[in-house]
Amino acid sequence: MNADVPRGRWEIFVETFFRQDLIDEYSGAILQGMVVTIEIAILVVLCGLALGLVLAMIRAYRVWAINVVITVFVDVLRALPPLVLILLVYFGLPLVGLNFSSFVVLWLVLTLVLAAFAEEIFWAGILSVHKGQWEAARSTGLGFSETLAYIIIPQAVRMTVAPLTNRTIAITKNTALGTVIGVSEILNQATTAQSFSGSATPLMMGAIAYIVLFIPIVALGRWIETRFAWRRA
Amino acid sequence: MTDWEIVLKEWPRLASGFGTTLLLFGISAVGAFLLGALMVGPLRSRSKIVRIALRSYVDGMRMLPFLIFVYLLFYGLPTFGVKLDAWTAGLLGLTVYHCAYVAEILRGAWDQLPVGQTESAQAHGYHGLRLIRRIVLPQLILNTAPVLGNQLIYILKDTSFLMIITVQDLTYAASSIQSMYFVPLEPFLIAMALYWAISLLIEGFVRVVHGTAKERGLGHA
Amino acid sequence: MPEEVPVLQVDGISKSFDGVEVVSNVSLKIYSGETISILGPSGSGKSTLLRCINWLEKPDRGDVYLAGKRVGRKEDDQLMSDHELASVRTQMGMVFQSFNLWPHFTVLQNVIEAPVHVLGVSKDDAVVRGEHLLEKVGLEAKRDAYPYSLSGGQKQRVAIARALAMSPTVMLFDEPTSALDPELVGSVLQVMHDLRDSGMTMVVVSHEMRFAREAADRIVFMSDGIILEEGTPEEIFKAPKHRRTQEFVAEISR
Repeated sequence: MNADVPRGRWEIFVETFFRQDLIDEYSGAILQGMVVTIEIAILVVLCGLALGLVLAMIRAYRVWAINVVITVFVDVLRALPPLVLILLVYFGLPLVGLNFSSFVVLWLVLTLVLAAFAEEIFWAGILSVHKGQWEAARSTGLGFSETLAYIIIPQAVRMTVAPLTNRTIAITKNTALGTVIGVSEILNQATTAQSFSGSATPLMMGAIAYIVLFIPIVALGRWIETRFAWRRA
Repeated sequence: MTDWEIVLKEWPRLASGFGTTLLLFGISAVGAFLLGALMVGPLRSRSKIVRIALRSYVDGMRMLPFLIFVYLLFYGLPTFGVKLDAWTAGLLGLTVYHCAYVAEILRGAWDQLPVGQTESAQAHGYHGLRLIRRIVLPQLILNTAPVLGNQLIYILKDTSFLMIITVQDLTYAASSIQSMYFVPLEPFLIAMALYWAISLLIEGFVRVVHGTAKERGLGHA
Repeated sequence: MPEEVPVLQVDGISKSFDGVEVVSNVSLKIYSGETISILGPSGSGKSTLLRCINWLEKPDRGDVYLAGKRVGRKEDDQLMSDHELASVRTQMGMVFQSFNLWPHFTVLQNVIEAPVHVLGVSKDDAVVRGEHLLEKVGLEAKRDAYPYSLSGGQKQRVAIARALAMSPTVMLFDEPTSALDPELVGSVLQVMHDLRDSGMTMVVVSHEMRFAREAADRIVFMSDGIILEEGTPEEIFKAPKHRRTQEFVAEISR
């Protein structure tokens, strides 16, 4: 190796992805991006899971017409690239006189997409609860709604934790799409910094920000899974 | 000119974008599956170093948004002397990102495979890649057809993200038409219909594979 | 008639699991054409011993020799590579308690699979031999069926045909009938009898007494990891020497 300019592979790697001065300069921006990402993620997860659960419960009443609507809605949202949906809503809503901010558009689309996936997962959970549970509950005089709410759903939820955790992580990753419509989340901050500085270091900072964000979610998911792991009757 | 007429006039743009999407999807799907299948053996390796290295890679891909991974490739690799255009960076990103998911799906399936399958293969003189390719992998694929099908749909959806680094796929085409003519609905509706058509095809394909599995008694009910 | 070099020789094999010694310093010689039955109570180590022969379990100590050549280790005491071990295993056929047929292949495909892809036999030759073997086990009509649709006894007979397709020097049976409903056992035992009569060297680990009594040349009785007694069926069943053997014979004769 040339003694004057020690540019081994490792040095180049660090120089490209971990430049100290840039790390100092852009930490604040990345952190701000993290705050926005977390805000959207929490709102989307809460609303999306709630909506998905409600849709699955409605489906349990087996009203044919409503179920068709729900099924179509869910299929469409699950099959399509979220980016296309975001662009459609962002450019389309003003046509009907609704002028939402980018933040709201992102929240709205991601919530609907999560609700679609969550509905399918909850529905699979409801179906997996043994029929005997329904019969036993009804025979003690509980009404349909009460059975659904107090007996079936708690058991259905147990089966859903693993797929829901995966979906939550996926949705949180999709917050990155906010970049396209100008939401100042992590990716936006990272790519803006990248084009100002011409270095890939801010991108690596963004990547690490995401990983830091996800480790607790994954840990939380595992904790919930073990806590709900009561034995089958 | 009505909005629809505008969009229809631009059909070559949409067709070209659709072609790019299909090409990216096709190549990366095949690549991701091949790499994932190659990776699943080492993922369960007896060597701790190999196992931990691959596990970190798989977990890393699961925690990173696809887009930032592609950005890292696109802007990071040139410093190593590897200059990629957006299309190639996108293809590489799709393949490397999704092969981690495929490997993880197959690994989970292998953990569920009865140990007698590999033992009887070993007793008959199978080992290494041949054992995986002839005896283990076909069963893993047949058992996980629906989950692998979902992964294919994720790959399809991720191709649309590449428009952000200016890869001229279907979403890019639709977005261009929108910004050129201020037609906010039609191009995206057409794009959506095309994406949906592909995902229906994928689901049909999965159903066929799943049917093949069931006639052999495979594929968990 | 014993020949000079045993087809299979086991020398001081020991194997432990989790600190418990399951097989203790077991030695055995098996000559060409012999049928050996290894009997013993559960936990006596007989299955583990069998699996040490083709190194599905790696022995902690001791050696195995197939036709005079060491299995699992090379001449310099180094472990054989996966490739070398796989090559030796092709000379030993194994039949498992849970059949372990490959579900994604048809019956015939199961039988020709290893000969074609491991031994390099041409597909046509393998098919001819495969059909012949399926006929011998009475299942030629099922050649295009999937294992999924077969009964346990049928699956095991296919498994035997599959192992025989490799033209092995010795056949190892690990509890071949233990997972079968009683009425299906007979069909499998018949195949094993025919195999014995054709001169194959067989080592059978089993709970199944009928076969040991009627077909074995020698019985090896194991208990707690060691060979307690060895002898002809008459010796073992009519006049067992050890108390443990006597208890076992009395128990299973009831």
